[in-house]
Amino acid sequence: MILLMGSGVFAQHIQTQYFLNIPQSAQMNPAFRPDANLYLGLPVLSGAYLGMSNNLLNLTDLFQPMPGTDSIMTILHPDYDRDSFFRSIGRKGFVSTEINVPLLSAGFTVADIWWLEMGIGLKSSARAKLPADLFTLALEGNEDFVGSAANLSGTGFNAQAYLETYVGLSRNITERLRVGGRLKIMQGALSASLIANELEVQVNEDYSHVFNAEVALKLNGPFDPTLDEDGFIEDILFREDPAFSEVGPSFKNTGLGIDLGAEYSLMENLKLSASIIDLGFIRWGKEAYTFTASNDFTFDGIDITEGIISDRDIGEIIEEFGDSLLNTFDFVESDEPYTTGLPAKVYLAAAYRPVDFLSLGLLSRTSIGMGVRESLTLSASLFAGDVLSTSLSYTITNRSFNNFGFGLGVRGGPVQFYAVIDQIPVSWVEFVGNNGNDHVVLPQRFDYINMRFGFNLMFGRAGINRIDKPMLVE
Amino acid sequence: MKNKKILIILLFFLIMPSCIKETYDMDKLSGDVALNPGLVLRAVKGQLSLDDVVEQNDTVVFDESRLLKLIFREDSLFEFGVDNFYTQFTEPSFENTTQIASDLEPDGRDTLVIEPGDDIKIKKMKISSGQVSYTLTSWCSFDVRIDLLVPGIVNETTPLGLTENIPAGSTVSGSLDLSGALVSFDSDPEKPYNRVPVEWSLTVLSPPGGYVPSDSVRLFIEIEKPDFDYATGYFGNHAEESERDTLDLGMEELFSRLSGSIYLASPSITVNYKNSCGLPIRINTKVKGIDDEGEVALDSDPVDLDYPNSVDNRDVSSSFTIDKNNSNLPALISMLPYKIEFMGSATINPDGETGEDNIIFGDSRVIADIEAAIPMDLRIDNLQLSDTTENFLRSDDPEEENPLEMLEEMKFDLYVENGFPLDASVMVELYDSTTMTVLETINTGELIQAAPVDANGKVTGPNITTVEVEVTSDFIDETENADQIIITFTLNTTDNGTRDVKIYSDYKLVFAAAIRIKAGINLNFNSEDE
Repeated sequence: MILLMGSGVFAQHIQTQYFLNIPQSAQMNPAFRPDANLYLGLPVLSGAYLGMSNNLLNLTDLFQPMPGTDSIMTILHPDYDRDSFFRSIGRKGFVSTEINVPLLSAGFTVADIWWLEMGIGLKSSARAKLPADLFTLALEGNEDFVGSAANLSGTGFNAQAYLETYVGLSRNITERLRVGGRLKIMQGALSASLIANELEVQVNEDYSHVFNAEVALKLNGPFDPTLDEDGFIEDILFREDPAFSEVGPSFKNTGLGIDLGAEYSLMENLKLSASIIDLGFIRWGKEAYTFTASNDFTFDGIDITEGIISDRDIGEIIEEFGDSLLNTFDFVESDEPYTTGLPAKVYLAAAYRPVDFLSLGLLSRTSIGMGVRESLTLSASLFAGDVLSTSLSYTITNRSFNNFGFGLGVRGGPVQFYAVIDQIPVSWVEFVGNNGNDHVVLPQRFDYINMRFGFNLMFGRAGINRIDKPMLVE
Repeated sequence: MKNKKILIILLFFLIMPSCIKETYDMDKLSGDVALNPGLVLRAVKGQLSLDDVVEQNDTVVFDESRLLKLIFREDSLFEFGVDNFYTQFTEPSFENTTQIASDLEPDGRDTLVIEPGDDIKIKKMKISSGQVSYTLTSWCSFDVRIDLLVPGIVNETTPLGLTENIPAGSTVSGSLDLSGALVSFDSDPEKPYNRVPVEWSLTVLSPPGGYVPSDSVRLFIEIEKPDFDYATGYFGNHAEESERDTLDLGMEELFSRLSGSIYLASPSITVNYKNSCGLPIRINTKVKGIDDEGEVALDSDPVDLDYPNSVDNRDVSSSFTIDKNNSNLPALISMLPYKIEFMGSATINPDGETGEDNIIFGDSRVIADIEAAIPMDLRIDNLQLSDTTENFLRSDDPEEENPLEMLEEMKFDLYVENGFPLDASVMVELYDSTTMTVLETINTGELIQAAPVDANGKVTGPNITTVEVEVTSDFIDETENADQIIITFTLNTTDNGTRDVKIYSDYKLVFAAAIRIKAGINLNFNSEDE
């Protein structure tokens, strides 16, 4: 279950990369192999990956021209259509980021059949999830929830960093079918998550509130939590100037993962492929802390009877109510190791190559981790032999329907340069200030940016007989 | 080949072009912020019984049936003793001068008369302490012996008497102890009161050859004011009237702000007394309640006190009650008088001589305590209490922002399970005292509705009320313009005050209050910057 559910990190990949003829495509499907007999990835240079995604913050959400004037208004302005903002969030808002830095990777052909690859890299990811109801509560209050519930379950954040070492193998099973797999060993460095697994506020018709909460805080790393005399968390400090042994990857935080993939040539110019990536877990055993708090209570008013009968101070009554409420929480503290899943992804793709230099692709990506998310990408890739490949993609994701991506791979000799971006910032916003003296130009959208670029060293050509034989052969 | 390259290049430039969609001049960034969150909260709740709220004390009590009563007690309402009756009780005395001559009878008989006062007829008196003093003076040239006897004064069985030898031309004085003596003033059948016969005889111990006119003897007997154990007889028909007096209850300010009516069905005033005056005493009180609209008289009947009727039963404890059966007390109290005007009289032997002897003891007194009881057995018809206060909803500091201005709307939802037989409503008025204008009003309607009662006025079950009280934006706006707030409470008992209800200690009120706020937070950070 952990393998499937993940721990709440919504890692991303560049959809456009899937159909591009670069070694990094194999990260999304281990059945893929690059068009080389030997591939070497250089530390950092072979393609650091930066991904950011959110459905909350875009410049056009934060700022808008005020109709009929030359002024700018913020989201808090009375004329701002906040309903459209809420609609854009959907049920849940999120902010996530992922940075992957390859340290070393290599792949080569074995016995003309097998493709063996191995590598090591640093991965870090962080994600915060904020249900739309949270924004509604903050900006619109709780009146809209009368007779229903504000569902804040899933609210929280999750961050982790680990070192991943992998070895992969792929081969053709038949002339049409190629399969691959990758085994990954993780050494966790840091992990922190605060997740409200259940957090629901029911607002009854009589305005009483029913709270149902189960919140878990998990920490692994140089954190020093302190508890008060009642066992409640008083403070959490991050150790100052921690040593590398405290923050670096550790075998005490060991994880295992696998990637599985397959590619099937249905017709000469139609390929189907599928993969499941990051099916695995990390067991965090070094300096692990888990705190869970759960409660289920109804607030139907503070009982002021004693204030009336005994002339007791109302402030004192409220304070006592707060203390008693806190005592109704069931707090559990543990320093036992805990396990987080990897953010699993399932890719299903079809690539149609009507002509040798053009491939049309359809890619479905299902990610599991802090909820299930679905993305759909249409792509058109152009190949100029093995020298140049470009890909243009259109992705529907994050309730966003205007994400155009672009990928480019250029190979000259053993060196291949590539750059992939999943959302081309076609619109920019210029900020002018200080009476026109200051100018800043920023992409209009921040909601979906994935980019990777770097150099690969590729030697030889694949010895595999491709059904879609390239027409641009020197 | 060339075409393909052109196509690739075209596609590249098709997807790559970027443009600046918007230019935001941050110098023209509006600092206007508007937030209109709607907040609802069931804020407070409570459960009160009268037992919880009312602490019993000397004034507020629950009787054995748990009925709430107000009790007012006054010890020693009045106290008077026998001295109040007999300040004019003079010391009785007897004086006689007898000339001694050969042809005169030396023995004599006379009467010692007391004058206790008009219309007072003392028949017997038991002396607890006292004495008879006497002075015997002789102007004779020879010795004389005097034998004196007062048969009406008997100590044990011995009548009071003395024998003295008076030397020639001298005076002899002395006294006789009267302690324990019973004096009978009623031995004269003609006038069987206030009189004691005295008998004496003179004996010339050495008779001279002849008597001259100056040979005489004077007898003077005086009963010094005795302490008596008891006295019987008839002590006259006397009336003592107290002066008219007015008791200001100090409630005019409060009661003047009340309108409507409250009727207290069964108040009572009980006078508990101890009486050791063995004679009829009639108390007559005249009490009026006064307010600015008129007066209500108590109209109570005169009261005859119980009294001891023998020397063996010297003290009687008893009481009398003034209530709705013998007076107009409910109407008097229910008028909520500002002042009580009262006067009264006490009459002894109001019916004159009846043949039964009065008895007064040496320590006779009447001691009376009073207890006024007002059971909460009442009906209230549209009783309104208005109070005017300074406007506490606006800030004293004009520079300080009024938090209420951040509200567009405020509503209170009240849920009440009312176990009291009382309706209540509240009206809040914003008042401008300069223009004498009511600017805005909140009228809650019936905030709580009276519980139903049975034939005895006891609640049979709670009445559940759900009320929404809206504080309108107009009201909120006017809070800054009003300098005073008038709050008016209106009360009615069950069935609009048409029936008597009783208030018991186990009556309960369960309530919950929810608040609904629509905030209107409008800020401008541009102006703050300026």
